[in-house]
Amino acid sequence: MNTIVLVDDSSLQLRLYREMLKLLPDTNSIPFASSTDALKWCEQNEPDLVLLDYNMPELDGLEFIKRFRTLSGKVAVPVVVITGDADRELRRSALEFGADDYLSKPVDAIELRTRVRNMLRIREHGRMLADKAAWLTEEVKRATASLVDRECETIYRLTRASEHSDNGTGEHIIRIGLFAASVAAALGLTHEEQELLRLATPMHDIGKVGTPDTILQKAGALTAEEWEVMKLHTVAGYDILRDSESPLLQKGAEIALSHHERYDGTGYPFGLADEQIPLSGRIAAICDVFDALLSKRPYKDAWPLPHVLEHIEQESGRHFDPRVVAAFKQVLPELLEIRERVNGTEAEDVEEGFDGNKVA
Amino acid sequence: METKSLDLSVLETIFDGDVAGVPGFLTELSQTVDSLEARVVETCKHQDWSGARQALHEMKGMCASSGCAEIAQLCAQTEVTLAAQRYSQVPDCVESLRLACDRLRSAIHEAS
Repeated sequence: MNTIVLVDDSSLQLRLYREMLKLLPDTNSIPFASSTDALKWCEQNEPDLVLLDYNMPELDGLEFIKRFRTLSGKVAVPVVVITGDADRELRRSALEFGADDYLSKPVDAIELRTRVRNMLRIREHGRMLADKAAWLTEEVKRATASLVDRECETIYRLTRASEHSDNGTGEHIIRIGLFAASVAAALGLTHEEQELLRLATPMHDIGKVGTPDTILQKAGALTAEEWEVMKLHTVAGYDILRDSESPLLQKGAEIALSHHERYDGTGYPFGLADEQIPLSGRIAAICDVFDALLSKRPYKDAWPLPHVLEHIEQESGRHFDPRVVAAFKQVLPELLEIRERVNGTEAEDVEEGFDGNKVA
Repeated sequence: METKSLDLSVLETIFDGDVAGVPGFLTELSQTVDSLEARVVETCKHQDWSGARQALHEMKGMCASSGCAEIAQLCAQTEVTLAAQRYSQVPDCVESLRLACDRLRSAIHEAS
């Protein structure tokens, strides 16, 4: 049902307009003898057309249009102004002020019905276009989200492949992402930055695809030569991920290269210190060590939690950034809860946690 | 060509065959004409030209839309007279208007 607002200070004129419009299908006319009352009604309601006499006390036609157009959702509502034959300047002004059409007095019934029908048709088409635009926007959003999900899934699966020889379950890469996001939150990083770290930190060891299994799976200590080969996984990871336009891969490259740097400058590959090391690398370092120490590996048993925490405390200012250690301690219960939750979980289940927020 | 006091075909077009609504409308039209006529007479008597112009403008619009072309035309002529500040001619204009209003009332009476 289309709602037509009629505004004219003459009740007889209003009655005439109502009679003229009575036969239009699916329309309901609401008459107002006061332009102020009409404007108030329009603030709370959604008319489909306004038929407005120009010459009125209180607000005249132009003032009405000016105020009406500032109301929420009223920009596209057609307004037809009725003026006297001689009011050419007024008609021009009305159009300039946002009227969509005008009618001259005396108003011809057939002309009025036709104009109103046309205006309502335009209104309907405008609505359809707006609906279509909203639908398209939603579709683009959905398609973009789907692409992002696929990008995340692809990265996850490749990361898992790289971890396969070293730590086959895939849980470590899920946990380290969640840890990094929690520590980032405690450091006051934005939600977007937290999400970026959650998704990028799992790529920290992607360069291990180039590290021989004999080194990765060696039960005993590495020789100096083997250790040098092992260290290359940071640069290899960076080489794999760099030069991408994806912010996620760029962040992954940064983390891959820097997560073995140490706060005191004794890490690798470049021996960077303090804030020379990207924050993402400093966060990844503590999360990686925390999870690695708590886990059993071919070359070591799992450490008890108190020993791990003691170690992290001792390494504050040496291996780790003290500010990041403080944030880590702040969210420790959350990290332990994550570790509890993402432990022994089947890989297919944790994938959901990587793409979406189920695990997080 | 003589201008009609009341052209019922205009109202028939407006009411589009719904003749039942016409008598009620004519009653309302008659009352409104009475009221506007009184306003025109009063404002002109007191040389309130702005008020007179407003009343004439309303009367002209309403009568033109309702098929009362004679009154609409006289209102327009009086508006022109006022705009030209030919105030000495205003009483004659008002008198013509009053006579036209009488004719309209008779026409409404006949039509009802």
